[in-house]
Amino acid sequence: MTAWHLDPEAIRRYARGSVPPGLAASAEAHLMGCATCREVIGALVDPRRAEAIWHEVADRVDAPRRSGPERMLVRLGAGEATARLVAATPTLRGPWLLAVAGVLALAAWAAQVDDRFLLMFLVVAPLGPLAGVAGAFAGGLDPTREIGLATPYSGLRLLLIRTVAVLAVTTPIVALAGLALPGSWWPAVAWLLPTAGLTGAALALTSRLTPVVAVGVVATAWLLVTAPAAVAGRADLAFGPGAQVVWLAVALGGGLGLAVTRNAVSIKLGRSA
Amino acid sequence: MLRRPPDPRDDAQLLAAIAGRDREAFAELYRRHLPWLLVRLGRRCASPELLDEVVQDTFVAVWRSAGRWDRRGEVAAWIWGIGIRRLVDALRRTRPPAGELIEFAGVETSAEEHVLLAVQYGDVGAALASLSPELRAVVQATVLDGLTTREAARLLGIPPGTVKTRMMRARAQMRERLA
Repeated sequence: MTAWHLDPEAIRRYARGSVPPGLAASAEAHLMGCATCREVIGALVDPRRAEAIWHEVADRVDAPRRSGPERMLVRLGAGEATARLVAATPTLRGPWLLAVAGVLALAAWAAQVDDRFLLMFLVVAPLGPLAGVAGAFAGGLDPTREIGLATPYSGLRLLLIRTVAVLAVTTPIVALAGLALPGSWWPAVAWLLPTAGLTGAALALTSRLTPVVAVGVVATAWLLVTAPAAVAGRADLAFGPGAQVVWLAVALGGGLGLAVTRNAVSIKLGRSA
Repeated sequence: MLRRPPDPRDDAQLLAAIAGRDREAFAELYRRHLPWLLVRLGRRCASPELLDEVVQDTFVAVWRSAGRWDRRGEVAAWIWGIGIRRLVDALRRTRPPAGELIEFAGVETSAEEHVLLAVQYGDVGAALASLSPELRAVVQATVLDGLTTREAARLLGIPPGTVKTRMMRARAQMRERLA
């Protein structure tokens, strides 16, 4: 602490901003080391302003911290509301993703053991992301459901944001599992367009059904078509070049359907399973 | 909350207590350090709303990172380091309203200023006062406020290259004056 102190009048003028820069610079340097002169400034600041800022600070200090992924999304330019929505998506939590990764790893391992299981991997692969989409809206799992019901927020927007988030996280997991498959690269990518198609179809159905039911219908149809084909060894029916084009068309059609009905039908997010 | 008997702990002890999530200590630190921070940052930011926000951010950061203070130097200087960087970030987000900084052009150096400058900085203070406002702003941002070239550029709203050349000119002029 220095032996001298700023003259109170000089401090007052500094606090008002009416001193020349040289004086201000030395006053500031002095203030860094002198608690006594800092106290003098304290009396010159509007107490209501100090109180108002304090309340804001206290509010923010008491608020729960945003989670890591949420902060990352905000930093990447997503809105705060969007980041919170994505972060609160139940199927983006660790245990769920681990479960998806576990099932697919098992399928990939089985395919290593026996070639016939290769097709089972393809049958199972799209179900991981799909189930993730459904789970994101399952009433019992979604922590934001009650709030969502009472908030005038576009259901379609919510649906799309969460679907994209779930797909963005689960698709790489499936892709990684696909890389572990033996043989050619074809099975490692053959599930991509079917997944897109199934998601598109499910999204289009959400104008009439809740997301969980829509995904359930689509997934059941998928299993009914592919499982017998896989057992019969006719995988090309579901995954061949022609089928891939069909899946692409379904994905685009689903998106189109959603775009057409977006204003006519409200997305039923309410009473999901 | 702003009126209570003085806390006997010094700033370093307060910060240690804050690291242990002591709200009383935080309130006391806020009471001691908000006013000068508000005034000092206020001289570098023309918008009171933005300023309030920056000060808020600063104290929230103090609360969260109190445990990371390295126990060296003044607590006030540490808070200043956080505050000025928050201000630079905030200004970068909200550019552009202001021009180059609030200038105080045309103010003559008073006798009082000469004395104070001599006390704090010796002859360097007088040399500083003789610089043109744009050069002085650069010296202030880099030397006195402790910003990097890049941060100073953001604060002043000029390219980093300009900060460097102005700093070179300022150094040359001051050297000449002090020689």
